[in-house]
Amino acid sequence: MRYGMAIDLKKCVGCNACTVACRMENGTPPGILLCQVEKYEVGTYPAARMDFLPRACMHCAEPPCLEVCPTGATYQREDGLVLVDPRKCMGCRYCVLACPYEARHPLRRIENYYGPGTVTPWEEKKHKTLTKGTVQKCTFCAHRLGDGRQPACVEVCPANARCFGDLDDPESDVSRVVARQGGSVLKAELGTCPSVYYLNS
Amino acid sequence: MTEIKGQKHWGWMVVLDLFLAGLGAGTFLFSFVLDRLGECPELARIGTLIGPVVVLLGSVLLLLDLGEGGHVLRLWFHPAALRTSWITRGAWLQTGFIIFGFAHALPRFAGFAWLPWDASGGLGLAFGWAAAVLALTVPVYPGMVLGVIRSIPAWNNAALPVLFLFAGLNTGIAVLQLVALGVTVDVAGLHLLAIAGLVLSVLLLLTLAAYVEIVRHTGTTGRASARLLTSGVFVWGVAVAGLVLPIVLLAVSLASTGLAQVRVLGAVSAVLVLAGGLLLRHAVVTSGVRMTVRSD
Repeated sequence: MRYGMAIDLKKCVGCNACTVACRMENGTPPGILLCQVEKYEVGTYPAARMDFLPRACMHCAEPPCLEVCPTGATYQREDGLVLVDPRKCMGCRYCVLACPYEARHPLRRIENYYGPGTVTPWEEKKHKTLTKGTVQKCTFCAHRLGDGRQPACVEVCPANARCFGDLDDPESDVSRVVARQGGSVLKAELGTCPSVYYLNS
Repeated sequence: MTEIKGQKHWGWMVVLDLFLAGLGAGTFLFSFVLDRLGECPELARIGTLIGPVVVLLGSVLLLLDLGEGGHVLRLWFHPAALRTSWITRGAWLQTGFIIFGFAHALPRFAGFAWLPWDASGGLGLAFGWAAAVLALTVPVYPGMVLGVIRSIPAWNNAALPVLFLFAGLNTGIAVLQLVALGVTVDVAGLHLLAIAGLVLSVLLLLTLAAYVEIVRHTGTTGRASARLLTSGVFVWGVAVAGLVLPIVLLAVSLASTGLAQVRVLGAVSAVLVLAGGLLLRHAVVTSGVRMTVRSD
């Protein structure tokens, strides 16, 4: 089994609902976006347009962050998820530099969204799951997968641009959509074998 | 035009470790060589101790910057990471060097007579050789730490470990030239150091030129790094003041036979080499521009 995702760039409208859903789900403090939508210009005037690239951890089959980790904090599950064990992470930020997808974020301090002393009940609950001085990353919402739920970004997408499932199962929706539409991956030349495919890129 | 920015995750503390690791290892290595050759025995004695002390200092700075709490200890207690992580390998190499370096150097200092071996005896010498071999790897490992990062083309470059090796050894010579101001030395010994410094400076200058040229031709991100790398500080601080001037000063010192003159020329050259070495590490670390996620 290998969890993966397909993101249809033709459907993505750059609304950042995934960004917000991810922040809510993981309670990340200001400045840390485990899922984000990059906006960029394509073409030249008068045919220029704005395109969007939603991105998070690619859960690579050959993760460069895993091989550089000096403490064994980064590990890869049998289902392909690349995760960080905060009890082992020493916060050296080597993985942050090694990740070509800028998907890892050092958590230097845990701040509240509305400033010091104004912690919301949600933050109070979620911040207990964060460990200062460690590195944060997208987990494909591993905690939800165990309950048979989809990652928050997939569930919330109003354009239905994201498809999630088992890439090793040829009958899964994600495998079928990748096979049918021929998805591409980011930075294929680096040999990281990402588990996130982009359709219509 | 978009502003070019180097990575911000590693800063001065990492720069200092890269600098001190090379400097300490180089100091030990040349002190050990002087000792084996029977040249400048007092300088060699002090140098073999300075080496591990400086590398230890650099390691502490690095751990303070990179490490979070007790998790740092996993660098030594998670040997499985030795298979893949250059930070772990570096931690082990530096630790080995520090242990063997101290084991070789300390018996020659007052207060350590109780140690059951002496520096020139079989065991003490074995410690010295082990430290000397490790001293060759300690300046190289930072180049490997940076070199395996594929997302930063300026670092993912085979010239970097060689560059750091020469730079480390060169600063080691510089430390000995400074120490020589305060201990009994002879002109022959100082000339030996000057020759080594001269050769290393020339090799470093050539490697540096090759490194910058390769980085300049490593895609658009590499070009961006090269622009950051070759700022005024780099050209005047690293290349001119840190390498070209020392080459001239050392050449002049080789033509001189007066002890005082050779000493002063060596010391001035040493200060320039040390400043250039520090600026070089800073330039390399801060000019590491990441590839954009979409394309290079």
